[in-house]
Amino acid sequence: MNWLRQKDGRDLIAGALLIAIGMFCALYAAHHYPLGSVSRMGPGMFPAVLGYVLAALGLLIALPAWFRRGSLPRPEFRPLFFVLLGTLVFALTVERIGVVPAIFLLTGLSVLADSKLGIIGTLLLAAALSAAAVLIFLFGLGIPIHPFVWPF
Amino acid sequence: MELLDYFIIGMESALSLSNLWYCFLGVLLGTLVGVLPGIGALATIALLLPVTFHLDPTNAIVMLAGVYYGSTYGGSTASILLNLPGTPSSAVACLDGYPMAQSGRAGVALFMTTIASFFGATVGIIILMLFSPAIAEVALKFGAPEYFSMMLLGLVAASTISSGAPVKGIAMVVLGVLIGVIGTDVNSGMARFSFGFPELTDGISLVAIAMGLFGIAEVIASVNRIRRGQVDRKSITLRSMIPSRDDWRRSWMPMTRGSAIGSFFGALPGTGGTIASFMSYAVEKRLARDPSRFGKGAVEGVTGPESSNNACDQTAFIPTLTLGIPGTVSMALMLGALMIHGITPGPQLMTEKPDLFWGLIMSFWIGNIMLLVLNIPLIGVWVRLLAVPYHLLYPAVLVLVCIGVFSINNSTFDVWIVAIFGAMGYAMRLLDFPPAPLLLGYVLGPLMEENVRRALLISRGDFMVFVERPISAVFIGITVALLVWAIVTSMRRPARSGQSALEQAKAR
Repeated sequence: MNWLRQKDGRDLIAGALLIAIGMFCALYAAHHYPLGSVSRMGPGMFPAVLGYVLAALGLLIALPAWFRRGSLPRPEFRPLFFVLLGTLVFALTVERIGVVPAIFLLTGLSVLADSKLGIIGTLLLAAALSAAAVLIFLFGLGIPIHPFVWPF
Repeated sequence: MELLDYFIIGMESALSLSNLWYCFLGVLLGTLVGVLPGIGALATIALLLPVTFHLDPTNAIVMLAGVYYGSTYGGSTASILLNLPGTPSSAVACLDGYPMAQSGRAGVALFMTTIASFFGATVGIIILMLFSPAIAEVALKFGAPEYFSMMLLGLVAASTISSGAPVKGIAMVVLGVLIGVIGTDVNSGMARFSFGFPELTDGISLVAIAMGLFGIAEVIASVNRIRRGQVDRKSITLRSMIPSRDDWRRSWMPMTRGSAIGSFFGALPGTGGTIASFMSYAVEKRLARDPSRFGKGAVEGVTGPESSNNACDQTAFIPTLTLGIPGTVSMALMLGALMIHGITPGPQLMTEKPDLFWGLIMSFWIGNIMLLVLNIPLIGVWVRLLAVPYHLLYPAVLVLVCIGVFSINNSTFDVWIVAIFGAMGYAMRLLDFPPAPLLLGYVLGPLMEENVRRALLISRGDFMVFVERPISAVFIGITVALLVWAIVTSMRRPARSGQSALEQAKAR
């Protein structure tokens, strides 16, 4: 990774990703869907052309970046990890154990992203958010969500 | 007079009890999220989209529009008091608003921004009323080639003008269009890029993408960034808000010029309030007799840009409602809301649904008057809200996003999509890719594909159809010019987005 510091690493990564996504879309579309002709386009034509365009744009971003110095992005892994984990755990649990426990899990995991809130604060926040969610969505909007589901 | 008829039709619809209520709800929520840094109008509109499925389409759009322009009113509050913009378009208000607050004139600054916002919005609405019928009439003559060229121009303009790195903007548009391809092809019935997931044959939901890119990604990026400052609540009393005669004298012309600048940039697809307010600030600084006052609490440095971005908010509805082309992402979400109700915005909207069209525009008057009341006598409430720390706020945002997305179809699949787009949105931030063009591309992509296929079917595969028709040729010409400019500039300087340039400027 050290050589990346001598170039504009941020734009090199950006360009490379676009080239990869673009080529994948173009080739996948061309192999799986009929292209048709220009006057009668098949379902594959539009995405295939766009895929090549995206790859070309990636090249346009990466090439000049090779010849100049820049910086590498510095991700903040802690908020990234806990926010996404919270969302995924919510997705996995909401149908099995119900909305209220899923909100408690989501709140508990997401406060770990910056850990400024203690355990009691977290529980109070989760309780308030669960109450608000049930009130707004179930009673206010009449959307049939299940506050609790007995999993066994 | 025709305009008077429209006025009456609109008022009848806007003054109905349900529209008044949803208008109020919209501007109230808009002010709330505008005041709070870290939650924007965009994420709020995305959050409310599922709720609007259950409403009458006019109520829904009146409420969403209220959130949109209401947030611009609220945005300057945090800029002035905390030097932290509540919304991107009110970043300029920090430059002179915060120095005003530091010298004990916070009340005056808050009062004058509200007046300037109201003034700008009024000009914007008048222009919207005067020009929409004419533009819709021209647009009625558009065929498939014109529509395609116009959307192409809109997308290229959106990605090249508004962000500092044109090539990255264009790349995001293309990626957005590709994401829009996912799902069943209307012409052949073939499921594209569904990778065996039956849920993907319906395409990816707009709400899930918007919440991922603008909700989750925003939270991840803000958790360690937003610090709450101390706000001296007691200093903002009604008495302290009364501006001096000098403040009025200095603000009058900047507000007029700002409104003109904002109206122009709003009507252009692709440029939003952020550009409009920066332009206005630059113009005022250049025209000022004593430019050195700027940055030290010049009232005209707050009022000019503030009327500019509010005028912009209103005229942004011109391309959205008359052409069906959203100029900004918030507009794209509102178009999405209309389409969910089976209403296709475009030149025929004005004649087919006059109560919706003119009712919406008239609701802007009512909403802006409500905002005047919400922002002047009730300013203390919003100031107190600024004291809520972000570490209590962001879990609430996450819970709302998850429940909101889940409740649309009772589907956990959409929550997965939100998480994926959240991660993608954060990666895009790190790599300086602007998220707004992606969403615009996603919304317009399917329409573009349909029109390009239809145009080439009619012309038997001859691409000349796009340049032989005069209106289409003009659109293509401007598009090509923009693209050439974008490519030339990208070869010369590093592809940094305007957003991070602003952050760098502030850090210095």
